[in-house]
Amino acid sequence: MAVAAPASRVPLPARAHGHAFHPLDIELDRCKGCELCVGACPPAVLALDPGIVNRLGHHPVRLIDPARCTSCALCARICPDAVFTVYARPRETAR
Amino acid sequence: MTPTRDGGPTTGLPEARVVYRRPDLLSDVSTHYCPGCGHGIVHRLLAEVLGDLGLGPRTIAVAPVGCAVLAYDYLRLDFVEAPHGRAPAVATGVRRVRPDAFVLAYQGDGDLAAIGTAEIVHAAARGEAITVIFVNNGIYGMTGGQMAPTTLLGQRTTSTPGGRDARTAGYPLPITEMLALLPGVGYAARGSIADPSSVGKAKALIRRACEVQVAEGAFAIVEILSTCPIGWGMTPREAARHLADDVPATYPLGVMVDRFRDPAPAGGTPR
Amino acid sequence: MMTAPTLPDERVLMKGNEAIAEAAIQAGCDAYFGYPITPQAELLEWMARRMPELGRAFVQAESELGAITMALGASAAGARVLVSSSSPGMSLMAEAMSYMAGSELPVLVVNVMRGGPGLGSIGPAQSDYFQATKGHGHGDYRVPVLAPSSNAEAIALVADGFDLAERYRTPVILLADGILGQAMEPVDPHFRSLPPRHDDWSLSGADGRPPRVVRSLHLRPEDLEVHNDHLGAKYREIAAHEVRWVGERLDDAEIAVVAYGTAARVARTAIARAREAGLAVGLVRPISLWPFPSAVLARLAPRLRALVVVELSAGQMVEDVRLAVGGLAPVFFHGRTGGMVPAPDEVLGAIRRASAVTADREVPS
Repeated sequence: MAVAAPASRVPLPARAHGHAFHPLDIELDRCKGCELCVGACPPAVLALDPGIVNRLGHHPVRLIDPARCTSCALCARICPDAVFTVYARPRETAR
Repeated sequence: MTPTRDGGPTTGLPEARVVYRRPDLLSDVSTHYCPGCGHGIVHRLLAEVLGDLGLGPRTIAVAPVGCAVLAYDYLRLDFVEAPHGRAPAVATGVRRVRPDAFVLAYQGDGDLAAIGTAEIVHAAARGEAITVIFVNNGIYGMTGGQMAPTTLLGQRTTSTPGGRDARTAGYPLPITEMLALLPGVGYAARGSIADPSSVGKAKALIRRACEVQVAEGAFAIVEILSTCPIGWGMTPREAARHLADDVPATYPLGVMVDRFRDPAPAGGTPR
Repeated sequence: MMTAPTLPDERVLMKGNEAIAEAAIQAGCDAYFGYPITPQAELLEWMARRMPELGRAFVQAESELGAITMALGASAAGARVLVSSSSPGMSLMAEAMSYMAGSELPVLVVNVMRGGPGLGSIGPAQSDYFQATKGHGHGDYRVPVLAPSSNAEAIALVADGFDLAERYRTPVILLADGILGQAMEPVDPHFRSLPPRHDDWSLSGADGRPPRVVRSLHLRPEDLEVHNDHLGAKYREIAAHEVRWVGERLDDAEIAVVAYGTAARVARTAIARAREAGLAVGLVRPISLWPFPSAVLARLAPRLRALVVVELSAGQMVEDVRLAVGGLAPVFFHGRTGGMVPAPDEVLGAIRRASAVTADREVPS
């Protein structure tokens, strides 16, 4: 993307290989980039991905630090487009 | 290729418990609502509540005129379109001939508190066993951002460019408080979707409003304070902030009347 | 059941408004919504008493606007619905008539016409012909309009009206007037009943089937055009099959009076007197005002010296008569407004004038 990422949008880490638990399933093509979830997330692990423009023409939200997501589902609760499926972290999984 | 999903069942462990999943009663489409629009949240809450209560298969819903005119594309329910403001009358017609149906009217602030004032007042006065979801964002979104009866004093809209002036445009209408005075109203409450905590409380109000129809056969109305980021000239997060900070001074949150939990309510004081 | 006085031959005396109401009940009306307005309050009152007796829906709404919109909802939910009003109340219904036509909802609406415009008078009139037949509400649509000229005919047309409404999925107007609504006439108390409404599109809750939507909104112009084409095809079908009219003494007529409702009854007396005076006059009485019996008039016009249209209005149906006749014969008009009813001799005078003016016109016999 040629557009410079605003300061509030952090660069995304590379995806870890192997079985990393991913608490969120995000329908990228339904996200409208409203950022209500970004503001609602207590550990601030959600951010819009400036590297993607989805089918609706928005930068969709991504989970940028899965390890710190607590599956609190406040993102799902505030999302007007119901893009989130939230999974509880199984206890056996190391962070 | 642009990914369409992030995460997904293949990356979660198979035995992971689902904490939240998109409700089944929401259609599998993107809505036309603007980014951050409160209608999306309210639709989602309705889908969750109707699903939780098992009411989907017997719901007949009435769609308004306003941004939510296409609500029937977004919720998997039998729907009838009403002319602007007439949803409570259409709902009355449905209610009187379908005693076993769950009857829902979904309206915005222009629909309910401007052009439809006679219809909502009389449906409430008759105590029609319907549940009214009243989405109040203080503006006429669909037609481009004009003043609504619930627009705040001083608020700039395209028909109050200098800010709403009470001398010429009157005062914001507390329609739900007015309805709560009527003996035919079983439940009247106001919630908000400003933040997740408010959303959670709003869901409980919607659920109670549905229960009042089912269990008590009474009229129930839930007003949900909502946002219109585009109409308000704000980002979605700014709009949510404004909703949380500035709107409740004019439209306080709470339950105005729940005649079945408090048979002798004290006027319109929210609890 | 009925407390109306009975006649030796089992007919009963009924006021028009009440006869229409009972006819609707016997035809299986599930729901009635109305608002008091003169001269049809008796219809609402009859329903207020009878519908709850039968466990059926009755609501005196907050306005005619409320009543017609309740009817919209009830029809969408599968019920057979009646609404009644009079001219000023009908104006309030314009919005919902358009929505119901667009959403293809069957509802029977009775207009007991009174003098207008505005608050007008409570006397009988026929000045809502344009309103009933030329649209009333916005958009490209038509509604069938049935015009009785007696209580017995009104009773029959109620069942007919429900049947038309449901077969074609359309609102239907029963156009009466204050005299018909108020007059007591002997009627046969065996009213026609109809089988219950049954369809695959009305709303009952999406239980084990896909959700259904009843609406008139088609945002894409291409889609709305398709929908309007569909409605247009329906209206052509109705026009082809549902014209209703009666002719009296037309076989040898040189002059035809065209009149409906109460005007037709006055005309019938005038025609009898004209015949006694040696004038060959007949009556064309439209019963369906839409679809209008245009073909009938077009067929008759070439062998007529004149047509005389009589209405309780400033002249509304006369325009459709002129359109149908297409200049093939002169069309004269006699009307009274304001709730006034022409006397038979007035109409006779109009017939005589038309006859005199056209005395030299040659027409094939």
